[in-house]
Amino acid sequence: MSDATESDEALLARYAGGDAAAFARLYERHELSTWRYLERNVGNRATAEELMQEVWFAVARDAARYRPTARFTTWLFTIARNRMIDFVRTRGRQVSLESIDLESGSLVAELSTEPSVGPLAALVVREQAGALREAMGQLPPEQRDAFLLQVEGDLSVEEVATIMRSSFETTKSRLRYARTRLRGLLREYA
Amino acid sequence: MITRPPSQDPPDDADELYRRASALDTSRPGESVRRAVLAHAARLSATREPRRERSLKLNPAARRAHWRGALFGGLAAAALAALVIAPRIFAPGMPKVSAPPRAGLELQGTLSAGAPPPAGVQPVPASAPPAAFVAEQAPTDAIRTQSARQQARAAVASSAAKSADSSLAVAPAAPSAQQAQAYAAAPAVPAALAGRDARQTAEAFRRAAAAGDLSALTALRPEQSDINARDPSGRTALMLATVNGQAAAVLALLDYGADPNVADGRGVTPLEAAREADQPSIVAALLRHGAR
Repeated sequence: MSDATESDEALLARYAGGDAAAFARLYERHELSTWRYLERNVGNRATAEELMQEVWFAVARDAARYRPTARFTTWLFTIARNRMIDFVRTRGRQVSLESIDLESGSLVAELSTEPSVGPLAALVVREQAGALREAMGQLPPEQRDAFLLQVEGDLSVEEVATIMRSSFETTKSRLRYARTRLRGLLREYA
Repeated sequence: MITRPPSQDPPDDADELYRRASALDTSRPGESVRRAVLAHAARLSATREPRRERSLKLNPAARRAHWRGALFGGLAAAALAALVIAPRIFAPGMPKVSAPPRAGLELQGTLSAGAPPPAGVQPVPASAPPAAFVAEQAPTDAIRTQSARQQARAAVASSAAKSADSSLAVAPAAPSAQQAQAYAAAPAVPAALAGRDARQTAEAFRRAAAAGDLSALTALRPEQSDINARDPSGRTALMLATVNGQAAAVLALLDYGADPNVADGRGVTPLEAAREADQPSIVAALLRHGAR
């Protein structure tokens, strides 16, 4: 089976059997979604990087104990969410995106040094990226978490409900509210 | 293959708006994160399987040597037990079978030699300790002398030195009668040898932590039985990584299960040390792992 079609579960099993390249492939495949889930939830790059490292360290450490009773992504995002909750608990405060400094975002930093992007295009991109962060910041934490789990983890409502330990109806309701809110916030920048 | 359950919701334009805005966001984790994760995974993968097992799997010759060693070890143990028991059974004036069993020594030895248990001797539970350990408890004056212990240590040290180059932990060759008695009286692993090795490993482990050398930390981890071992100043590997600002080593040690609340000789905890050294990321990591 080629790399492109090999399932996440098969790659993890190969890694548990000693194939480090399989882990690298798995990481490549899920790096961005894990990153976006963490960064958009915690709203701080340094913290997200720390969590990212911890999450994938845990994946590597527990690979041999993984049993494919659930999809790999469900397992991965459960780890990510648990680490994030630990972080919130130990910091003793609710994670909020309200304090994000948009100027320090990597996109804005890159645009300022990218000559091919004209000032108007840069402004549009910046506004859209800023709008996304602002929209994320305006969502209640539970709605944001549920939405990010679903879109970044490509998870079903049941899987999101399982990870969040909430009922199907509650989860569905959170997702609906999150989408309604996001639609209003993002449409004007589309 | 596990497949995704069918989604209950039709595609939503909010998702489309999110994805479009998301595509413009080029934010990614730093290259250092990727390197650290992949290196950690590769090292774990390499060390997951114990080296000895790997050697046995890959090398048929090593496997044969392993079985030879086990066979000789078993024979040596049986001979040793017989040597200890024989004087007691055949000693003039001593009843052969009516003596009460002494901590299972007699029966263990007799059974090892393949003979049926003498009448009147109570069976020994399966969990009884091996003859070599029981023999140390027996009040045999001849094998309790200092010189006998020294001979035993010398014999074991010599044996250990011979097998030092081998990755297999084979039993030492059958000793002479005198050595056998002395060997039975000595600890299974000479304390001095074991202590020195453990100390050296612990020191190397702490040095790696202080230097933030993740390769060395991972390589030494399987040999480091006590991850919270302290140096003469009472500092653990975690404390040394903390005071030296080695955030990646701190994360790795916490991941290995290091106790974040072990204070040094002055009573300073890693959390206090991290705050003192103004290391916010280490403070955060320690807090997440239950540091107080």
